[in-house]
Amino acid sequence: MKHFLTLIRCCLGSLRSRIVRGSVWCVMTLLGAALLGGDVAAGKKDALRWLDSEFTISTISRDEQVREMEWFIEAARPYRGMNVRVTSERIGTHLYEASVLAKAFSEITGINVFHETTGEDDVIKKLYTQIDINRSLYDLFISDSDLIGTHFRSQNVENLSDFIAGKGRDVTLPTLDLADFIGLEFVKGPDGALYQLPDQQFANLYWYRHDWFTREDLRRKFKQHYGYELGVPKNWSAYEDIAEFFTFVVKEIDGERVYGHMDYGRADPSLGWRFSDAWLAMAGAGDVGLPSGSPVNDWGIRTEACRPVGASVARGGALNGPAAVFSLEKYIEWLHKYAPQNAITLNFTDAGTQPGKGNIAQQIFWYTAFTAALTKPGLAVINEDGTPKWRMAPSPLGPYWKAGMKRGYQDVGAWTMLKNTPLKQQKAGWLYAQFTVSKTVSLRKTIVGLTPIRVSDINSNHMTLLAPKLAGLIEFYRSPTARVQWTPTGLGVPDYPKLSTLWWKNISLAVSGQLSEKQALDKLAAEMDEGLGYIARTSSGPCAPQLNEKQKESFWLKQPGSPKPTRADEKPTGKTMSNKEMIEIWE
Amino acid sequence: MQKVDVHFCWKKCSFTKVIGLFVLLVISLSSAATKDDGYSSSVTFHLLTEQIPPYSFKSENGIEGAGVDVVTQLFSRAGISVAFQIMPLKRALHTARKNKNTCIFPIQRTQEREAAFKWVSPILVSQAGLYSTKKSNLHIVTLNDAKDYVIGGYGGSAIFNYLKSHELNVIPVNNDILNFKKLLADRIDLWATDTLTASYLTKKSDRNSIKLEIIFMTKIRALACNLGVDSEVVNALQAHLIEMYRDGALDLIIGNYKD
Repeated sequence: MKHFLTLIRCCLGSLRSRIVRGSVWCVMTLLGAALLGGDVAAGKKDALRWLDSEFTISTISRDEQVREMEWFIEAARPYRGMNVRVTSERIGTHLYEASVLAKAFSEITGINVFHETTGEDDVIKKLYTQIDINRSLYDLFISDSDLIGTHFRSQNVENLSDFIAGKGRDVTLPTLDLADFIGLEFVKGPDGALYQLPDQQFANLYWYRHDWFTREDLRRKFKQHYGYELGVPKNWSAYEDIAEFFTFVVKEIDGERVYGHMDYGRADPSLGWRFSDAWLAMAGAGDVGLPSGSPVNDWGIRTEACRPVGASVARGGALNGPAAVFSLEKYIEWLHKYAPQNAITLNFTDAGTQPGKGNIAQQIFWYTAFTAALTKPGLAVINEDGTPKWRMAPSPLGPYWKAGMKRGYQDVGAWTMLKNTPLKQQKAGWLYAQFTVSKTVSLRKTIVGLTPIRVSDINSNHMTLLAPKLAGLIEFYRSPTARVQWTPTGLGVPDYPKLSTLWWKNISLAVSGQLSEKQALDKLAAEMDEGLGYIARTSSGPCAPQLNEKQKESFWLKQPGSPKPTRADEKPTGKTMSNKEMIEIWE
Repeated sequence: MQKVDVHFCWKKCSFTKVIGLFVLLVISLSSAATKDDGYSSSVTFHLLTEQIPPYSFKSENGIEGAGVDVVTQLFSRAGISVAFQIMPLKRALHTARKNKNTCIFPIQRTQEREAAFKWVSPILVSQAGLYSTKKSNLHIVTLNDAKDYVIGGYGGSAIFNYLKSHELNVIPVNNDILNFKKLLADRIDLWATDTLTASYLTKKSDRNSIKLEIIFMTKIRALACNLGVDSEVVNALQAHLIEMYRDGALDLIIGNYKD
């Protein structure tokens, strides 16, 4: 306002002095300012409309919401009329952003947002295409924090800590409250700098039919067969017993064929995630130490200081070690023996929603991103009162697992800004990114997509009221231990896009029977070493890979920790947990 | 099959563009002559494509198009001779999966197709948008805003499938130019197509009567080769492709099909 009055005084002065060019300039500027002022007023009106219609629940007061929206309107002034393009994976949370939040942001700020949703694999390819061909395809990406090891090494991604403190300071939301994000540690480099901003978060947990597990007749029958209580399995032995029980002993419930296991086995990139998303860690192949295991991580890669030095046992890794081989053997055995026949032809998406059909008793490897899809009223796994017949619980652990190791996988889909995006586009895009995680909209988004990112949302009364309908999701996220023991692919994977493709290409050879489990993992480990070697030759920096010389495998297997030698008893007695024990794990 | 060694757009190119392309060709031929990419240049690659103007189409000059120009120059830089053939997409995918030294272009590199081919990407980056008539005064900000309207799309295309999967009311036709005509005749409210196709198909018409509402999708179009193709060949083609982006050859080719 102060500047506006100065401008009017200046114009009157020019007119009085009959300075024609100055007068014309002033009138034009005043006209522009008036129009812009009109736009801003319209933006405020739109903001109030959105607060009344969509963002009616929030962890901040309505006054605070209004102030947050006013900040967005002011900060967006220089970018009004600009187009911003972003892309993300196609899950419920991002569909909500693309269809509702993008529209709200556009109307409130005057910045047009085109939020495209596609496959996660496609997002990664587009991100790397933008880097490779050095063309700005998108202003921001939402990509998995699994890529953090790649991002901090490549230096193609903006360091957000620097951006917030420097060139993006004027467009950084004062109420962003980074400390409120539960997954912030997953998107930091070893330098402590923030490379991505969390947008949604999900974990991989155990899924089971709580109604069947609590049926007296089934519990009695299970105890008769196996000598212990039917319950959430603590180890893989119990998981296997329960799988056998439902597939071969129970066989039918209410006249329908049921199965004790569900999984997927189609040869496509999602088969890789089935393993790279911490299956080896759950088996116990890596080392103790959070977030990923050190010195050997959940991919079986050994890292010294921050340098990856090898994946094969011969170089000190564990990718083709006894624990990894055991984990692949069990995956294939269970898929063939206990899952429905078509499971081998399915991918990640198909298998995630399959339990909703009502014929699956348990699934050891299940993404919570499917919670919204499996809590829809009318499904065979939902009671008439809307509560689920199923629950999620900590995944059982393999015979090589030891206390202090990561328990499973959790990932953050996070806003990622490339350095080759023009600054003005970066700034306009950054405003939209922050809008989608702002406290004004975050709780509503969390309830729609069930992929929480903020402590304040998770601890809200709204979530407490919803908890009985969410089958254990809220209990998981309220657990401080769960937030640190379930972790993403960490800093030890130096080029996720290049190395991750090796998983499915080799695992599929074992699934199809072309190679034995050991042969497939030997091949995978050799190719992983080769990949690390290539990265070592083509990159520099203190955290670039540097391969160990090959040794006899026995040398490494005799050392303490990972790689671990074959256990004499890979199937110890099955153990299940009581409800009390389950609660203790979350605590 | 039509055997092509070097392919140009003599008829459509402006003088400057022709000179530019000539310089690039000289660079690429000399680079092909001096580089040894480690495989026999006596092998002819069979390159399959669809009738999808302006990316690839039959004309009185043979098979031409933006995609054809890109892969012609790409293989020329790698010192490999090629033969083009147009066929329906399904047949082309099947043929490229079954036959050695055979590739298909320009197709989308999807998760489902990933395992079936070796990839050289992106040979083209295209954008898909929704077009309305200016007189309609529509205001589309997100795809959700298009839910109440009738959209014309090219049946079976990635754009058509994408809109269908978003539960939009999209009506298929088997020739995209019909959508332009239907839009002008008010038989559809919106036309879903990629921006290069729209620019090309409306070249001889009153393109001022239509308006781009939103761009809703960016597509990476790739060259997908039979799994038996030597990885060294694929790596060499990929390296030449990146070089074509960096030296401006790609922009020059696409520019010829825009206006």
